Amino acid sequence: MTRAVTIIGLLLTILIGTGTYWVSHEVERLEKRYADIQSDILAEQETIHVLQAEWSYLNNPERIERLSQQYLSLAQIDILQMASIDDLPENADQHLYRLDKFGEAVAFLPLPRARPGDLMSDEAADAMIIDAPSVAATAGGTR
Amino acid sequence: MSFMRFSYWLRGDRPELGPDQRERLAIETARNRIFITGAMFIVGFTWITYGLVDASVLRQGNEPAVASGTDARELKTERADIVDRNGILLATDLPTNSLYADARVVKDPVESADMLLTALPDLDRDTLIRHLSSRKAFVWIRRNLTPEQQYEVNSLGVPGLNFQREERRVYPHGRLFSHVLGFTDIDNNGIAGAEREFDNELRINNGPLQLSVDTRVQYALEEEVESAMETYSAVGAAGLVMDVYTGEVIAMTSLPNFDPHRPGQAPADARFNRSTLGVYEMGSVFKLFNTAIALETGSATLNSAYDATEPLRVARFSIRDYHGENRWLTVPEILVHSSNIGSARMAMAFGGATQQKYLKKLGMLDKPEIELPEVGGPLVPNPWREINTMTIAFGHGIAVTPLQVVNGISTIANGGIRRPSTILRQDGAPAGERVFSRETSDLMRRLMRLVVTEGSGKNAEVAGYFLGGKTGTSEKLVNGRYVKNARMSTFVAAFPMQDPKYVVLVTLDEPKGTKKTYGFATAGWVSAPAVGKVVTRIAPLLGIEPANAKAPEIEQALQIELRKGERKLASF
Repeated sequence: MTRAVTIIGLLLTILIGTGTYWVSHEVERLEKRYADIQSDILAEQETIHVLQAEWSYLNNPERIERLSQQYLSLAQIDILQMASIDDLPENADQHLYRLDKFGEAVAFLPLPRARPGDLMSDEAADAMIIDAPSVAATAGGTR
Repeated sequence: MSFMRFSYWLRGDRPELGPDQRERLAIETARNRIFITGAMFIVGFTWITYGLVDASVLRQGNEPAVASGTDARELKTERADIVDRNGILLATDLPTNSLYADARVVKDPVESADMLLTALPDLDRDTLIRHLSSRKAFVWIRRNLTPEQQYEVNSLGVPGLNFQREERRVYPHGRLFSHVLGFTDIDNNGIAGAEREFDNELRINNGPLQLSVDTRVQYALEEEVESAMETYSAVGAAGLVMDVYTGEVIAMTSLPNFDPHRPGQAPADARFNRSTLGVYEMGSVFKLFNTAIALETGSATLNSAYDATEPLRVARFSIRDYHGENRWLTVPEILVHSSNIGSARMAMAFGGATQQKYLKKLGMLDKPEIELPEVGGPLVPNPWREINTMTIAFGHGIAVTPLQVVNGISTIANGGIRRPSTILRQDGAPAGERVFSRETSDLMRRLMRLVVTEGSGKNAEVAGYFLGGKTGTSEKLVNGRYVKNARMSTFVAAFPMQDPKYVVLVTLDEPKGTKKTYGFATAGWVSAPAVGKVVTRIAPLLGIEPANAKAPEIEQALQIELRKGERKLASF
């Protein structure tokens, strides 16, 4: 009986000792990993920070303008080029085709929008122009 | 003998018994003691085991499921970032590396210097050799290298060269915001602009500081103002864009500007903020304030007419018109023809005290409120005589900063409520103080529009955006005397006039006329087109839709009758 108790006690001691050691070791290992991750995060944050500064630098409007002039054939949007969805005729879909005299559907080509400076009658201009404030002035001036 | 008995009792010995019994008793006692001790140990170990299991295996009720980063460090720079209203980075601290040499380790100073010069060609060779052969443990070679430079120096592999980590304030947009942001010294202390005004907040570093400026608008403004300044060979220029409802400065430029990374190399003139520190006589721009006061106080209506037939003589002064009409003028005509005589007469009708009261309410008599250390107090006449009232009516005899003018025009255009100017982003409109009634503001909008359609601001017209504004040209005061050909040409405009959202101002300092302007260097010729160009570029960015001039609601909002002033028989 005594021997059994002793052996059990000894085993328990070894078990608990090993357990304690293992837990403490594991905690230490995790802490080290945690610290490593923390410093990695800091390094990443710093990289992000530098990249943000670089991103802002690369987005300098002056540079963007230069690049756009160099590589894109785009110009500043003219006021005439802007229109709102409300300016479209309500029955726009109906103009996609029409029935010819034989009752067959043929494609309907809508008349192109007037270009600034085009001379056309005021009625036509009123019907055609989609919210183009300066057309009237331009057209008037050209005449 | 009680001590002996106590000693026996303590050992569990009983001397009165026989030796056999005593021996058995002793063994029994020992056994009991071992048992008790063992039991105590078992209790102790159980306790410790329980504690161990509890601490490492069991889960406490209040324990979070995921470890919280109580000691999670965040990257904290010395100073907080500054961002624009859309979050674009305007100023930040960047880690940089500075190159120094441990001259004791340098083997061959001349060869090392020559190698170093291939990477950093702008270093002085003789100084470099002297430094490298100085046998000192620490000599700066170059502060704040760029990453490419650092890479190149590093790949040279010269012994004795080392890098020191430092933090440096960096402005990714360079000169673009030099007057708004200001700059810092070598120890990262803010010493000008927003860097100085918010120095403490930036040091505490609770996240980035958000300004009200918009990088895109700032660029458009700066570029157009700069090109106008070059075209008309002006010595300086200022430009401002303000949100009329919040008082937020959307863009602010003062030219010439400087590189905030090297402020010391810029001349004092370039570091002078003409938008907030410079005070100028704004000229005819003040006629808008004058007219607004007259309409507000009821001393004039749109149909009131004033005698501008001949120059107005007061004491030894004589007030003349630049474009003389030499007849009676109505209030709209006074603005359209920019009549000094008419404005002065209008001011006389409401008087100096009223004028002072309203200018005070408009903030023209105090230092402008803006979160910048560079603010200039206005130059105001003291005492305020009758002649001052008359000249101030057309913007002479009072000098204010362009910022104050923009703020005042915002007040007129936004329905009459004045809000302090700010460079910090606002959420919604801050509380303001009513200066003019809505009716006055509505009339002023129409009048401002009229100046652009009929008057001196024609060159600013941008189809679809309905600018309304006023030109102002004044001769510069040098040593207390007006100089004929040194002018300040200002154009200030709000848009779109049927529902003003923004005010734009462009001031050119000493512009010279060109062939294209027929030699004129007045505001209508030099500043107004610049404002027009700025609006063309910024309106789409600010989300303002161009509208059709024939839309009935716009016609109704801007319609005004330009009636000819006729001499009233009664007053003749």
